[in-house]
Amino acid sequence: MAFEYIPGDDFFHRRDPRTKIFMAISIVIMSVWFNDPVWLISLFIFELLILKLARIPLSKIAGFIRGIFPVAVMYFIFNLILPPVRVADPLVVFYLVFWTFPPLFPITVESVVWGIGALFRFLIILVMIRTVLMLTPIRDLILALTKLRVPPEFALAVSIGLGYLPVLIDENRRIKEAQQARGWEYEFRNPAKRFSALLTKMLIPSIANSMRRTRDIATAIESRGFGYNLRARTYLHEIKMKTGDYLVIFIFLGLLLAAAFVRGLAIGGQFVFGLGLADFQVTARFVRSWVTTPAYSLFVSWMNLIPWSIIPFVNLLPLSYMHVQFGQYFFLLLMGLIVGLIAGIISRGKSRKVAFGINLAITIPLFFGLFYLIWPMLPTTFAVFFSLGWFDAILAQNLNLLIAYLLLIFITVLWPYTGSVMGTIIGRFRGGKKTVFIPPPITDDD
Amino acid sequence: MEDIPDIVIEDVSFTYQGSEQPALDSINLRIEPGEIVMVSGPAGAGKSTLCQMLNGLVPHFFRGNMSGTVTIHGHNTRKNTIAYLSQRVGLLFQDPSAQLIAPTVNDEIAFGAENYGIPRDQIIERVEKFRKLVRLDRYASTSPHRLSGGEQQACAIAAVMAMHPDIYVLDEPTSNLDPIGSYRVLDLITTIVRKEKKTMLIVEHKMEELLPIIDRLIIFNEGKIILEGTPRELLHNVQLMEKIGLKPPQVALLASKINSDRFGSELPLTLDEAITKFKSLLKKKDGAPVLIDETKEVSLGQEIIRTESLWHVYEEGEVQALRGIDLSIKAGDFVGIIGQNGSGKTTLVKHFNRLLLPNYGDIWVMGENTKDCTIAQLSTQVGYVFQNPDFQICCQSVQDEMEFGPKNLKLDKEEIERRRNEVAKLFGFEERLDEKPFSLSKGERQKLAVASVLAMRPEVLIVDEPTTGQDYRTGNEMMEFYRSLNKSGKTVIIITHDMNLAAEYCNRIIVLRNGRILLDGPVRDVYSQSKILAKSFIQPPQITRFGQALDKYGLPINALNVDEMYKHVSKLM
Repeated sequence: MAFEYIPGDDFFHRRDPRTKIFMAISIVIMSVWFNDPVWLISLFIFELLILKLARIPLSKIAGFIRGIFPVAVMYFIFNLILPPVRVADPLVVFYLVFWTFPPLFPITVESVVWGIGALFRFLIILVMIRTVLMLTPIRDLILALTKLRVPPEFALAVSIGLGYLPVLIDENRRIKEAQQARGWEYEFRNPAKRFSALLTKMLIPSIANSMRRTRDIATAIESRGFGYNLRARTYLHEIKMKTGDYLVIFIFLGLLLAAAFVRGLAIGGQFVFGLGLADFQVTARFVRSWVTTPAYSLFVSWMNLIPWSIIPFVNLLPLSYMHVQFGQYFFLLLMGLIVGLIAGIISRGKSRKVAFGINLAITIPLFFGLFYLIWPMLPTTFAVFFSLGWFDAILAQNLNLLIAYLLLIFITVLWPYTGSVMGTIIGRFRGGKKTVFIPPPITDDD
Repeated sequence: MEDIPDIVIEDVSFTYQGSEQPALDSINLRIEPGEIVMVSGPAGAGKSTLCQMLNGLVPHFFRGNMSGTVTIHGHNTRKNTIAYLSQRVGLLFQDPSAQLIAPTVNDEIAFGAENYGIPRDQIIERVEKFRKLVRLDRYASTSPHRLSGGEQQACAIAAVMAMHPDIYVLDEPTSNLDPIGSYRVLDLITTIVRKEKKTMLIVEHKMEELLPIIDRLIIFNEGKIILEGTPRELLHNVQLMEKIGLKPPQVALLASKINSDRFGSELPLTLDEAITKFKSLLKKKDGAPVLIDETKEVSLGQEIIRTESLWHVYEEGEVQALRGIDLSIKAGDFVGIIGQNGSGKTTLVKHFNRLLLPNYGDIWVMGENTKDCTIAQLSTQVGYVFQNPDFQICCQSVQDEMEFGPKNLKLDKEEIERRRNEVAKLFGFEERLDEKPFSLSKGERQKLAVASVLAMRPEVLIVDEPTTGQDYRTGNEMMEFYRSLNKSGKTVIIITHDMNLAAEYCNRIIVLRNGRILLDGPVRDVYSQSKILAKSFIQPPQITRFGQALDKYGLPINALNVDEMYKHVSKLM
């Protein structure tokens, strides 16, 4: 369940819900202040530490992160491509659309660093909300809201709404089954078709039922005296701020101040206070300096199968271009993995032969598709080949392109296997489909 | 205070907004403190309106045209708010899950007291006390929606009690519950009556269990009080009760059939009374228990459903709903599947049209493994009528609703029309094809739901709880319809909690318990094994139990209805 409360009686569980809300808000504020992955990762670890102290099994959080993973990845990619912060003179790693001239959508060191930070901020905020919900029964949260001057009607509505969630899910299932039992098919592959099928045939019964339920709930709460005198309403549960609560609030206020100091306050683009440390550009600069070291170029040259340091023509090539080339291999590999993932998901649970067929069917058009994307580069390749001879051509860095083709063929051949391997991995990752259910012996039969 | 009656209703009529028929028509009623009144009558007789009138829901929430006055403890309901009146009148509704609104059982019980600003320590005291009384101590911080139906209703009762009302009004508290649940709730009501000595008005159909505690019985019909008196006075007139669609206790029916002179005005109302009475009238006999060996004539066709060691588990094997079911159902049979909630009845029948697939084992429908079919294919062979028609009705008009299935089958236009006309004729919808389904009454919606399933022309019809939420008359009408469908050669499978219904209509009964078949056989054989049935908290009909209690006196242990028992008893007397 999305709102599962995990009972416990430790320091953090015992805190007043208002304290927990304050704790959550201050962590969220800090995560918004920082944009540097180093600081955000530290904050994330700090959050996990709180969970550990509250004796919440980390597997619960792992399960939660698994659930939001696709969204987090989407968020990451979005930030990678279109980072909201512009940086002067970024270092391009590779272009997403590299086959056009000029290439489009550069992925830069800066955007990767920013993206990782954004990803962790996303995780911090969601995990924090989840943590508060695991530490506090919904009822206490609502009570805290009422204490914070939220009208009791609103609090009651939220509480009833959450309480009825399982009922609603069950009802939706029943409605769907009732239609299916009359030959209705809604499981269209096409999401638009599926959506419209669900909408038209489930909407009428859903509306009818929710109207009936609204009336039932209204009569039930009226009959139990709700609204008798809202101001004089008493509560079964009491929330009280204790010393521990003030302590936690004090500590988090301190943390907030410290964070403000580290982050630094800027007025009109000028730092007026603090260290200005926690900016992602600091980390980006660091990564850049690492990327341009000889060690890294050695690494890149290894990728190109040629030891750059002993070849005299090495200086012909600007270093940054190598990054782009390297990035493109990486991009191809990544695409291979994604296609493999898709193929794996589709072929999950199928026999090995069928899975191979499915993968092949996906791969072959993709290979031609990619080939089509690269072919504008072919003339250049051949031109260089003919004018310089193959050895010189290789030296002239067109080897990169050659390797790109080889890699493409290599990946294509491997894809079908990647597919089934990834399928198994995904299967494990998602808790997997039970392969065979083996009935246990029956012991209580009489 | 003692002199003021709790409830005074003077010449009250009420017509709901947008309706022409009055829901209540010149009602006069006076209920004294401490009185236990049972109200009964067919659906739409105005019983619920009466209940809602007592705490002001009518006319403050449900608006309409009201004349006359309702006075609670001298407070006119028209001049006081619902919240004010609810302090005195605790109202319990029929559907347990619809009235539970708090996140935990504790909060649920406390809700009313919280609203009235009762000091916190007193609230805690009340919560503890009433949670214990309704035996929900284990579930203090569980969500009420996770409880079983009976437990939910118990929780709702505790919530009403924690408001310390002077008057309890219970609107059909057991009609949505399984046998264990109703037993629990009725037992609870009896306890409350004995302990609290407060005024109570109960709307109920189940007379058997409540008769010992009732002071007065009031029968409603079409918005009017048609009969009023002590249960003994009223039940004496058994024929009239049957005529207005009420089920008097079977032993009372039997006694009235035999000869009213023998019992005078003292008709036995409960099983115990009847047993003592008949013991004095009959002679003890030795020998084996008497069995009725008449069996219903059924000619069965080919096997249409077969399961082999069928298992179904939920939540990754945590919940084992079905554990190795071996079953064979032949064409033309009328099968009743009984068992408590959670015994696997619904899970089992959902395999028949592939809404579920087994986790282990196999199921064949018409010789085909359901693994190899789609739900859509099976929908032409197995029709499934759900308990609540409102989950099923999804179209804008009666006509569209009946055509929904055939259209899904992509039949041609003429065939769709032919089938629509066929089922419309069956249920008398010919003239009402353009009406909106939600303007129909509940009984009519149920019929529409059945009609739209029959338009698929299934060989097997599964009906989940065919009579729940309907009164005796509509329920009977539908059951007679299923019987005639069965006579025409279709297989009918019903899931039911109503043992009398199963006795009356089914040829074969399958009793499920914890996902296993406990008993399976002809109705008569199954009901004669009351010891095994008791394991599953299922009681055969009262008349069967009556025979079983007096088996030493030569009464049959497997009688299914009053007529059969009467034949035997009259021979002996």
